[in-house]
Formats: sequence, structure tokens, C-alpha cells
Amino acid sequence: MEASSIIDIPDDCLIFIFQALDCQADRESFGLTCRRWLHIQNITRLSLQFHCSFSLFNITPSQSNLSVESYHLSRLLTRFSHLQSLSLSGCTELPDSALAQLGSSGHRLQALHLDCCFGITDIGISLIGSSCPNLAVISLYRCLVTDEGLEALACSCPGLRDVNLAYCYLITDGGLRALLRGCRELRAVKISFCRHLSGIGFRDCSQTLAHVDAESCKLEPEGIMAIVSGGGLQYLNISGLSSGLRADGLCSIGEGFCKSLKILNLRMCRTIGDESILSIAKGCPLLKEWNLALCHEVKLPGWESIGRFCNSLEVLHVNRCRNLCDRGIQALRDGCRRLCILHINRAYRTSAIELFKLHRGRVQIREEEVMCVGPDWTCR
Amino acid sequence: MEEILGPRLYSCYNCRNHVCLHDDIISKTFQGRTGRAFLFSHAMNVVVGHKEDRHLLTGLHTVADISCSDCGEVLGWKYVKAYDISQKYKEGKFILEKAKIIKENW
Repeated sequence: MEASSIIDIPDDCLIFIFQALDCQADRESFGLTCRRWLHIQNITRLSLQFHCSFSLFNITPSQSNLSVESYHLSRLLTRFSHLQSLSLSGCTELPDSALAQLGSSGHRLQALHLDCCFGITDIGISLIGSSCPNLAVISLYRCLVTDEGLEALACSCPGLRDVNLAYCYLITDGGLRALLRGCRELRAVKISFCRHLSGIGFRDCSQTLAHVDAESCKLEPEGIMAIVSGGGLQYLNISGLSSGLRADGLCSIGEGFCKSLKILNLRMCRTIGDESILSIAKGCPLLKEWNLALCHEVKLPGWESIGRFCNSLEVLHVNRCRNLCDRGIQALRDGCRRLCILHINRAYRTSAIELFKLHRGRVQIREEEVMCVGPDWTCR
Repeated sequence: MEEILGPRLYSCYNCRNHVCLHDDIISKTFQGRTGRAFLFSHAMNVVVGHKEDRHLLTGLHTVADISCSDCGEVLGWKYVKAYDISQKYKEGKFILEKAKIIKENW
């Protein structure tokens, strides 16, 4: 019988063996053995991020001052041709031309992070669109992308699921509408701090849209109605609403389209009044977490409606609400059967809170003011 | 001509928290860190910070920064003590920078 050697093992078996290695030193030695094994090591790499990327995988940034250039990227993309996730976050000098390298292996790319890539413009975005048709997750935090870039993305990447457009102050409702029309499987959209968006771009969004983060946007009432029109919304963050909505400005949330809403963040929506609260409390029966910190116009009728109708509510934030009186706390105490955690400042209403603790001993009272409630976008 | 109902209010530019009244303006000719500033006799819904000695255009003063009670944005300062006789009138009054406050509905 012929002696067989390790050279005869086919590639897919080698890949299997490599993936079973758990020690970093073993994996490095594997790649150093010969060219073929280096190739195996390269094609099993599924994600790549640079030292300047923040937050993605909890890696502490190294002290290196090397800035990532085009030729670095081209060599890395040639070497790692089976990447599924690429993060260029923090590469502030990278130009559009660098993204042309994605052409060869882009069809395997599913997640792309371009946070703070200030050199990338609409041209770069269209290059991404043409090279990566299977893109599902894209993050353009603080990028200089405009409506044209969004339209390019909508045409070429119809399978987009998660889009982060926080601080992209150049985009308008037109671009957003194009994106939502083109990508019918969109699940999560983050448009925080985009000051030119009023929300009407969300009209006719698909039912798959479950997560909308529009913190500190100047949303109009029609915009809010458009955001909830899809019918599948589960998480909505409109904290820091900088347009002065009327007291009943949020009634559209409770008018039947948000039946599956679970988490609602209205922190610092200081003009929202009791009519909106009543509408939301009645119209969102599955609401589990509600942040009403600094909502100063919510008065006794509002608190009473929360107590009466929010039967699934588990976490409630009422920090620093100026019009939360003792009777309001009593209304919350007598209702909200499922409440587990209440975030409230003790200093102003100590006796009412002590009565609350007496009657509802199981509810945890916390003083901390939480600004981000619900699932973090990056942890998908 | 629009009817103005109620007092003319200024709000924090960040979160629209009411901070002062137009009727409380004593002077409009002050200079703040970001440009023009007004001297008010009263301010509301602000948090007064720690006292510190600062050399301003008009001399040495003890001032405390004031920030919006809701969003924490620094809006100006309060004069705690003035060390020059001619500046004593400012004690206890508030400087709010024009760039940090906006007119509320008037």
C-alpha cells in the first residue's frame, strides 16, 4: 500500500482541520507551513477590521500610528478573498478609489462598516453598490454621503437589512425614500442626528422594518406617521425631538400601526402631552420598555392612562419629569401590573416613592438616567 | 401683526427648555465665549456650577458656569463676586450667550 502523506489531504479537509484549531499559535504556524496552507488560512478568514476601528469586537486600540492607505487595502483584499465582514471604520484618509479593490471578492461581503471614513463620497458608495450586491449590513456613521449615494445603494443592494446613517447630515427625505423603496427587506435604520430629515421618506416602508433610531431629528407629525406606517415596528427611538411638536403630535403611534411596538424611547420630548400618551398606551399593548425621562408636559391624566392601559410594561423611565406628582406616582403604583424596574429620581418625591415601595415591593427603583434603551445597533 | 400672548421667553437652543425672560434683560452689550451675550437679572431651569475666579474683559470676577437643567449644555455664567466697585452691579446676575438661547415663539 502506498504511504499517504499530509499533502494528499484535499483542501476542504484542511479547512475543516484549520477551523478546529483553537490555539492562536497553532493557527499562525499552520499558515507558515507552505503556500497552499497559507492560502487555506487566508480563505477561512471571514472578518477583518483595522486597529483604528472602535467598538466592533471589543479590541483595545493599539498605539500604532499607521494610517490605512489604498495599497494596504488592496493587498489585504487580494490576500483575504472570502471576507464576509469588513470594517474600515476609523480610516479617515481612505479615498473612494480604494474601494475599487472590492470588485473581485465583493460578492461575498455581507457587512461593511465605514464609520468616520471622511474620504468616502457618493462615488465610493456606488463602487460598493456595484461590487457588493449581497450586502446586508452597512454603517455610514458620519460619512459624507448624499441622496445620490443612497439611491445607488438602493438600486444595487436590494438585500440590505441594517443601515446606519447616524450624523449623515447631507441626506434628505428623498434619499431615504429611495432607500426604503429599493430595499424591501430593511430591518433596522438609524438616522440619529440627521437634521434635515422630517421622516416622510419612511412612507410605504415595508413591514420588515422593526428598528428605527431617529434620535434628535426634526421629525414632523407626518414623518412620524410615515415611520409607523409599515406596521412591523418593534423598537422606536425619537428621543431629543428638536421640532416643537404639539401635545398630540405622537397620537399616530397609537393609531393601530404599532401593535407590535415593544420599546419606545421618548426621552426629552418635552412638548408631548397627555393626548399622545393616552393614544400610545391604548394602541401599543405589547409595550415592554418606555422612556419618558424629561417629558415635562405629561401630567396626571397621562400617568393615569399609563397605569390603566400599559399591562405589559416592564421597565419605565420617568427621571426628572417635572409634572410627575404624588398622585401620578400613585396611578403608576395602582397599575402596570408587570412592572419590574422604575427609573425615577428619589430626591423630589421621597414619600410617594416610599409608598410605592411599600405596595409594590417587587419593583426595583433605580435612580440612573439611561439614554440608550433597547438593543444596541452594533450588536447584531 | 402677530399677537404675542404671555411673557417673551428665551429657551436653550439644544432642548428648548425655558431659561429666561426678555423683560429681565439688563444689558445687551456683553461679550461671551462665543460672541455677543446678554445680562439677565434672573434665569430659571439652570444648574449653577462650581465657582471659579476668572479674568474677564472688565477685570477679575468670581463666576460660576450655568448649564441647562435638562440637557446640560453650558449657556453662560453667573457673576458671584466682583472685585471692582464699578462692577458690583453684576453680582448675582446671569450672562447668557446669544448663540446658546433662542426666542420661544416671538
